[in-house]
Formats: sequence, structure tokens, C-alpha cells
Amino acid sequence: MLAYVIRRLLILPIILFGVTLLIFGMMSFVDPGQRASLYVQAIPKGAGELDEIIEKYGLDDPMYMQYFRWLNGVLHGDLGFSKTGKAPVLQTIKRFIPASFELALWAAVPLIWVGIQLGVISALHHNKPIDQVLRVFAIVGWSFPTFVFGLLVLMIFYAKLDWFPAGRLSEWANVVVLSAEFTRYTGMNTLDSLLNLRLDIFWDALRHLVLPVITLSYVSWALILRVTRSSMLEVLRADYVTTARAKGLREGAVIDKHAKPNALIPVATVSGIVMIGLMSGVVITETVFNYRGLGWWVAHSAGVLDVISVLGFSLFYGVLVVCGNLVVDVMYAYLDPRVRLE
Amino acid sequence: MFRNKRWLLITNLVIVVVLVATACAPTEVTPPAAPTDTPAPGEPPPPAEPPEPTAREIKNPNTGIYATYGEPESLDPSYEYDTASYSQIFNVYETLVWWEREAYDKYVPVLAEEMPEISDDGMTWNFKVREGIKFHEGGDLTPEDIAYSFWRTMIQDRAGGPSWVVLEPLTGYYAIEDIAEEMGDEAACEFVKSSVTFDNDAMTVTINLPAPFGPFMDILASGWGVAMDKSWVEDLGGWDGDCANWRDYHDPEDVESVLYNVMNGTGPYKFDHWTPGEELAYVRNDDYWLTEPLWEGGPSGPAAVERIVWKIVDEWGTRYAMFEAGDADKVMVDMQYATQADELVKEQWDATDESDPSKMTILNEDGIAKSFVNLGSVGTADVFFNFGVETEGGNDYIGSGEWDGQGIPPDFFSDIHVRKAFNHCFDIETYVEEAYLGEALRRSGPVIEGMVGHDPDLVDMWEYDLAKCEEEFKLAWDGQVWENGFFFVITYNSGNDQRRTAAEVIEAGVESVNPNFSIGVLDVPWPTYLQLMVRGRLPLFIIGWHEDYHHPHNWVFPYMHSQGTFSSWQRFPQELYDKYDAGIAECLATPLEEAAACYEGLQAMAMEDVIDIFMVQPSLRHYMQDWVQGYYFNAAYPSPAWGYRFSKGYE
Repeated sequence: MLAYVIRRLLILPIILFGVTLLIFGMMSFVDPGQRASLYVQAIPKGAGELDEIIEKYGLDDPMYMQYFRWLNGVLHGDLGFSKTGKAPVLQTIKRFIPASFELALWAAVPLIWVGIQLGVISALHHNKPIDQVLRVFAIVGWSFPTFVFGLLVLMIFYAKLDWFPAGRLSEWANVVVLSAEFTRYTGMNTLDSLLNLRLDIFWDALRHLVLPVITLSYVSWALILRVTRSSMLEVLRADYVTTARAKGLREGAVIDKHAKPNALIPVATVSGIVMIGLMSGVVITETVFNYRGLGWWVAHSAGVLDVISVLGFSLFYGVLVVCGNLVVDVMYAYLDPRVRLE
Repeated sequence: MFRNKRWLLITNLVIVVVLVATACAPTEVTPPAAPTDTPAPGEPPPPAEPPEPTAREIKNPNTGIYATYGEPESLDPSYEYDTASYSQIFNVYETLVWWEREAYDKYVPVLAEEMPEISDDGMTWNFKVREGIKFHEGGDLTPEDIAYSFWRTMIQDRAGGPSWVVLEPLTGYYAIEDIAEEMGDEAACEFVKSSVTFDNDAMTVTINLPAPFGPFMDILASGWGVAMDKSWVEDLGGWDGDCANWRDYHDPEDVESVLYNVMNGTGPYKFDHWTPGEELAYVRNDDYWLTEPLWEGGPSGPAAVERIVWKIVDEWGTRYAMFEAGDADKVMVDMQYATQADELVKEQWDATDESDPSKMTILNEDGIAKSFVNLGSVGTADVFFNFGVETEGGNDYIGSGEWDGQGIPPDFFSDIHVRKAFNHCFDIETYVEEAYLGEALRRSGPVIEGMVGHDPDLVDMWEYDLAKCEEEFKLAWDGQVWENGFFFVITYNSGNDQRRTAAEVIEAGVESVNPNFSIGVLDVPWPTYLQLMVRGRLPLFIIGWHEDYHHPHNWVFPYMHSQGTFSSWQRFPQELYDKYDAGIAECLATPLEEAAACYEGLQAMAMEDVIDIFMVQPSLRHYMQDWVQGYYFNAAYPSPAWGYRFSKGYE
């Protein structure tokens, strides 16, 4: 297994090289003047000002020169400066990671665990009313555009009821978190507040997470539910399950010990992909709930042609995808002893 | 993995408990209720009083939050040239003079002890600076700081920046590079420094203009006239005022400026922090020097609200929810969302403040907010004709580029009949109604309404009239336009509904007079749009101007001068530029009080030459919670962000 892991990690630089090359290649289709506009927030007085900016940043140099200039910086640990993040790219990623990771971690439990439970219940009540209801419930969620569902819950639970606000913290909590009396260990508000023994901040941070987590969960449950359900149905028809029942095992034991572990193998793959997506930021959810994470940042960067930021994020995302898939593969081998990583 | 249903039940219960507890957790600190008098035993209860207006629980009672969109580019006063950056300045920094309450053409001394002594020729301005004022970081305000601040803005002169606003009146040049080219580097710097001199002992600053400059008082009041602490800037590694090294501090990238993300002024608020993409926060300056109001009824002493926050919330739905929940005291509402925001409004004021109750209408009895409507803006939206479209490398925006009905030649709009036809075909009433809910003034030339030189009588010179439109098209290009027809593309930047509406109204009007006329409407991202305009590749473009300072010069220059922002993109024939440049120079040299006829003449020229479709001067609306007190509107303020005037509570 170790050799497999090392081999996969060695592929990482090749993947990253390919991804960045592709993005740079695509950028060659964008006029230098358009890219220079990133540096002009107000209306320029004339074309000469755009030309000055193009010259200053070498935006009209041949694309390979611009690429190698950027690559040279990367090899020296400099990913460039993010105009949208107002800081070096690496620093910007570090700033936004905690928010996205915190959201991903809190969303993982309801999203994956509840999704699995719904899938299992659905399979166990195959074609019965509860199965139909759950499937309709999940499909409705899947069909909902995230921004529509997000705005809907925002209007009900924030604007009208004022239970679960947008953003990451309330104003009073933000003041405390930014003060010298509060130590930021991880940048994740829920975790840091517990480490600082500030339960009031913890509750406040949690209140702000509820709506994004519900939104992410509801629009994704259908995927997990359907994969779990079909896998479970397949396993429930397998000979060894019939054998287990024939041996007189309790139905609960048959389901929990024999059916579920095998049915969850494909679910692990899907869950891994979902988690990678969450950790790299969820654009619409982060925008609707004013929750500033990686997804919001990269979408904003792409919108204003901030190539350096997009490239920096791509590197980060590449690493995340490769490592995430590796973890899924290793989990797969753990869950299914028949699989050998070679 | 959970092994039985009991675990499932327990876990579900835990989740429900957490959600309920979270929802019920305390939300914010609220001020204690006012003590009430209770009658002693045996005493009769006091007589019933009329019911007070319902006062809601005020959220964040000591913090003023403005939810808006837009990230500042920089906090450096010498660098900022966008609305979001400019909006940050006045909470922290102060100027020698400032606008008197809502008037944007009357001034009061602020850092100056009194209004300046101006020489008879209008070229020498002497200021006496107030004593005893301190910067937030502890430094004393000196006349040298004020002079240094002007010098710094002039030598920094970054590409696309605001330095020209100060350079033009103080030196007669638009860029320090031009001065350096003429005089050499060090001499250029000395020349710049000689325009503002100081005497620390006498506490005076003297400004020497090369020629009288009408709008100069307004420039002094603007964000480019603020006082920075020279020693503090030096300590941070900024320019020390030495002419030998000014080049090192010239044209910096935003982050290269030492004042990029810090502020240190003399104003009512101290800068606290800037979290990019999220917020900027300020805390009250408890040692604020102002003890007497600058105008009658104005604020004085430390600010009423302890903290103010500029909250960046891009999504309208989120801003709306924040506002309804009371987490935003003021909210930015684009006109297309005004009807939604109105659902929350109780009092709608057709006024610039709350002094005249007769101007207030109740929109919703159970509303939570108040709004101020029909606020006169100092911005516009117009359509600009390109007299000579750039075609190098091909240009799809003019179709085939020929008289074949599938395109237009690059100089299509150089014929005045074409320009007149487009004006006559533009249904301005429909545009104003659809794009601005009817809340915009029609334009009659470059000079805006309410300003010296504005002539409202010209508004119908090219009124909407399809018969006249047809007539002009038949005259254009010796009848070729009418016979051959044409096609070209009108572009606007994605997401700008007002510009899209303008393009569609032009399309509908022009296509209605001849079936061979065809116009495409296309949206492109802002960076693409900007560079297409600047490069002269669009046959016509739709954009607006927001004044840098309140004077007709700041309107005729960008619209008509050979070096003007828009007029230079339009590629007028040289004879037009010569005529306009001469007229603009003449008006500028005339004192404003005598310049009305001169600017009216320029305005008439622009209308008679039909250089643009002068569309609208949109009105503004401001929305705030009903607990916000102290509002008044001044068109010169870049946003409702200046926090010193506000308090929170119910009167």
C-alpha cells in the first residue's frame, strides 16, 4: 500500500503542471487589456493608462514567458499576489481555508450520515410509501437550485424569524474574536471558541452554520441516498445475506453487520468526492450566506480575471483532489478486504 | 457506524436539541429598559398617556452597520479613486474646509481656523491652521502635514489614479511625468512643493495657484485634500518629502503604498481593521477635538455611535435579509430592488432630511425602516457615439464594416444626421420608467441639473419623435443609410440592468423605422467592456460619470475636452476638439459666479453638435432602520457611510 501511496503522490506535480498549463493556455485567449482592467477600479482617463499597466505587469509578453515567470515564483514559494484577496495568494488561501473547512466539517455529518440513513431506510422499505416519500423528498432537494433554496431558508429563518443569521459571526461576537483576549488557534470559529472556553461564541458560530449546512445537505442528500439505496438493495439480495437470515440471525444484525458495511463501499467514493467539493469551497452557498470561504474567493477572482488567484487556487484544488482521492482509495481498501492497493 | 435504532434515536434527539438550543441562544446585547415609575401602594395609577410609537429592540445599539457591496482598492488617500475607497476617507481624515451640512457648494472651516484669505487675482490662498489638533496615533497636526499631504498626492500620481485632480489646479499639468519631462525629476518635485508652502510657527499654509481655478474650494473639501501625518508616514517607510527620492514613491502598486491598509487622521473615528472581502471597522475617537458644531445643529464632541462597520455583502437577497433582521442599520439598494425594499419601509421621505413632516408618506404601517427618495445625485448615464471606430485586427462590433446592410463603416457616427436620428429614436420616457422607476432627471448637455451653466431649456432639442428620426436617417450619408440598412452591436457590461435597458430602447426605436436596420445587444464582463471602450472599439457605448468635484469644469472636461475621459475615446474630429478646448479654457478662467453664460454656451455646443445621447441624471434612494437618527443628504458624500452624524434610538 505504501508504494501505491507514494506513486500517487509522485503523480501530483504532473497533474498540477498540466492544470496550470491548461489555465495559462486558456488565458492566452483573453486580451491583455482585459486583464489589465483588473488593476483599474475607476474609469481610466485614457488608453495610455491601460498600456502602462500592461507594460508594468508584462501582460503582453508571450504566454510561455508569463508562465515561466509565474512558475519560477512558485518554485521559490511565491504564488503571486491576489488582487481580490488583497494579499499574497498563499496567505489568502490560508485565510479562507478555515471557513471552508469548518463548513465542510459541520456539513459532513448531516450530509453524509443522514444521507446514508435515508438511503438505508429507503432500501429497507423498498417501494413502500416511506421509500417513495424519501425519494421524492430527496429529488426535490436535488432539483432545487442551491441559490433558490438558500435564499428561501435565508428569508424564513433569518429575515423573518431571526433564528439563524448569515455570515460567520454576529457583530458582538466578531468584536470578541478579533480582540486580544481571544486566541485564534485554527481560524475555525466553533473550534477556537471551545478552546478559548467561550461557549457564547460557540453557540453564535453554530447559529451561523445552520442554514449553510442545511442548504448543502438538502441539495446533496439525493445523491448519497440514491447511491446508498441502490447499493443496499443489491446487497440485500446477495446470497450471504440470505444465508445470514437462514441461520436465524436477528434482522438488525443482518443489516448492521452483513449488509451495511458492504453497501457502503461505493458510498465511500461518492462521499469522498462530495467532501473534496465542500472543502474547496461551495460558491453559491458561501455567496448567499455571506460566508467568506475559498469558493466565494475563487468565483470572485475568476469574475474579474484575477488569473494569479485562479492559478493559486487550482494548485490548491489539485493537491486536494489528489490527496482526497488517495484517502478514498485507502478507505476503500480498508472497507473492502478484497481490494488490494498495488 | 451506529449499530442499532437506539443510537439512531439518541443521535437524532441530540441534533434536535442542538438546533433548538442554538435557535434560542441569546442573540445580542440590548440596552437595558428605561426604569419605570410604579405607584406606591394605595396611590391611584397615573393617568393613561397616549401610546408611544412602537419601538423595536435595537440590534447592536452601539454599532452602526452599513451593508453594501464594493471593496476598497486602498485606504491611501493619495491612491483612492473609487467609490468604496473614497467612502472610507471621511470617517478618519479631515480637510481644511468641508461642505456645510447638505450644501455642496457652501463650506465651513474644519482644520482651518477660518475660511481662507484669497488674493484678488484668486491665485494665492492663505489658511490659518487650528492649533491643538492631534492625529489618532498621537502626532500633532502642523501646517507642514497639510502641505506634505498635497505634495504626496502629486508625486505619487499612480496610473489610473486621482492625482490629476490636485495637479491640475496646483501646477497646471495633469501628470507629474509631464512636469518631469519638461523640467527634470528634482526640479519637477520642487515645482510641485512650491505650490503649497507652510509656516509651522505662524500655523499657516499658503497655496499658490498658477491660474485662478474655480472649483478649487471643492477640491480642498474632497478626499484628496485630507491631512496626513508626515512623521507617521515616514516612520512607516513612506516618502519623507525629499525631492531626491520621490521617484521611489511614484506610481506604486496598491499594496506598495505604506498607507494601503492603515489610516491615521484627526477625525471622529479611528481605523480599527479591514478584513478584505468582509468588512472595514472603525472605533470612536473619544478625544475628538471638535467641541463646537461646524454648523448650526451639527454634531460635536465624540461620536454618538461607538463603532461603525462597512459590511461587504455582494448578494442583494442577503443584504435584504440582514436589513429585515435588523443586523444592518443602512443598506445599499439598487434601483431595480427598490420595490422589494419598499415593503420594509414605514416612512418614505421625499426630502433630504426629516425636518419637514409634510414630505413624509407612510408606505406600510408595520414597516421597520425609513427611506429617502428623489435625492439629487451628481452622477449620470449617457450614450456616447464613436466618430472613428478602431478596426485594427478586425472588429465584429461593426459587422462587415461596409455599406452592405450587414455592418457600418467605422466613421458611421461622424455624420451628424445619424447622431440626430439616434437621439430622435430614443424613447427617453420609457427608459426612465423602466430603468429608474421614473426617478431620474432628463439631461440637456454635459452640465448637470442644479449647477451653474446648466440650461434645462435644451432638454427637448432632440426629443423622441420617430418621424424626425426617419427624416434624419434619410438625410444621413446621402441616403445610403436608409437604402442599404445597417447592422452593429451595442454592448454593455453584464449585470448592469440600466445599461441593458438603454441598449434595448435604442434597438427598439431604431429598428422600428426601417426593417433593414438591425442592432444586436450583447453583454460582456466589465473588464472586457472597459478595454473595448478605452480602445475605441465600440461604435457607441453607454456609461456614466460621477463628479470628482462639484463644478461644471468637471463635467465639460470629461465630455468635451480633447483629453477628457469620454471625449478622447470618442475620437472627435480635431476641429471639434479645438473649439471645445478653447471654450473650456475660457470658462475655467472665469470666476464661477460670472461663468454661467460661458458654460451654457458649451452645453449648447454639445447639444447642437449632438455628440451624445444625453440621457439621465438618476435620483438616489437611501434606506435605513427607523432607529437611525441624524440623517441628511449631501450629494458630495460618496455614500451614507459618514458615521459622525448618526445615532441609534427612538426620539
